[in-house]
Amino acid sequence: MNITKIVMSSAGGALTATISCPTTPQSVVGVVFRYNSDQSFDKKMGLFKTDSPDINLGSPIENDGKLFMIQGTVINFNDDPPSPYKVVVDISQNGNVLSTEVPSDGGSGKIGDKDIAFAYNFSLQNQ
Amino acid sequence: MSAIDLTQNITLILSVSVAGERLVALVKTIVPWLNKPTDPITPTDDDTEKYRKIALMVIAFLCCWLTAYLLPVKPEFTSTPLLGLLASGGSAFWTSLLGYTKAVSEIKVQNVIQEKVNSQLKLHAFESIKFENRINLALRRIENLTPPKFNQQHNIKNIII
Repeated sequence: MNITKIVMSSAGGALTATISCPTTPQSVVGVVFRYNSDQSFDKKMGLFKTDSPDINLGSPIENDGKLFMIQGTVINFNDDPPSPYKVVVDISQNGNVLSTEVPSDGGSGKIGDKDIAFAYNFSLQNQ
Repeated sequence: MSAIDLTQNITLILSVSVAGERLVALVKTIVPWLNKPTDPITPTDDDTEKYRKIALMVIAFLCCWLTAYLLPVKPEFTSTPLLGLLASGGSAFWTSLLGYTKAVSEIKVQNVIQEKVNSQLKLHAFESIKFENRINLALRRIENLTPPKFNQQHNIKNIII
C-alpha cells in the first residue's frame, strides 16, 4: 500500500485526522493506529464514526516521523442497485488542511448490501 | 356495519325505491287527479294541492312497502315497513345518503393512508435501530481489533460485519 507523506509545521499546532463521506450519505466507522518509524506499533489514536469523524493526533513534536494507519468500514444501506460512496481523509493542523485524499484501498466505489473496508497509510514529518 | 354491507343495503333500498316509483307512476296514470298539480301562478284558497301531495306520499310509501314485502329475500338490517319508508324517501333521502356514503368512503381512504404512514414510520424506526446497532457492532469489533503490522493489507474479516 502507498504511504502518503505529509509535511507539517513544527510550530503549527495540534494535528487532526477527519474521516468522512462528505459527498455521499454513507456512514463510516474505523480506527487510527500510530506506528514508530521502524514500523513497530505505538498507539491506538482513537475510533471515528460518522457523528464524530475527528481524531486528535496530538502535537507535531510527538508525531514527527510517525506512521499512521487508518482502518475503517463503510456501513451499507442495503442499496439495490449499489450506490456510489467516497471516503475522504483530511489531515489538518490547527484547522489548516495539510492533506485531503481518498484512500486508494477501498476508499471509493459502489456499495450494495455488504460493508466495505478501507485503509489509508500516511506519515507525518516536520518541515 | 362494514362498508360492503352498507353498499349492499343502499343498493337494496335503491332497487325498492325505483320499483316503488314505477308503481306510483302506474297509480298516477290510473288516477289522473294525482298527476295534475295545481297551477302555481293562479292562487287558490283550497287545500287541494296539499291533499294531493299527502296522498302521493302515502301512495309512495304503500307502493314501496308492497315492493319490499314482495322481495324474495328479506333484508337483515331492517323490517319490511321501515325498508318501504326508507325507499319512499325520495331525492332528499338519497342526497343525505349519498353524503353519508361519501363520508364513509373518505374515512376509509383516510384510514388506509394513516395505516400506510404508520407502517412506514414503524419500518423507518426499525431500520434506524437496525442501522445504529450495526454501527455499534462494527465499532465494538474495531475497538477489539488487534493492531496489524504497518502497511499490511487491512484485515477485512476483523472489521466487516
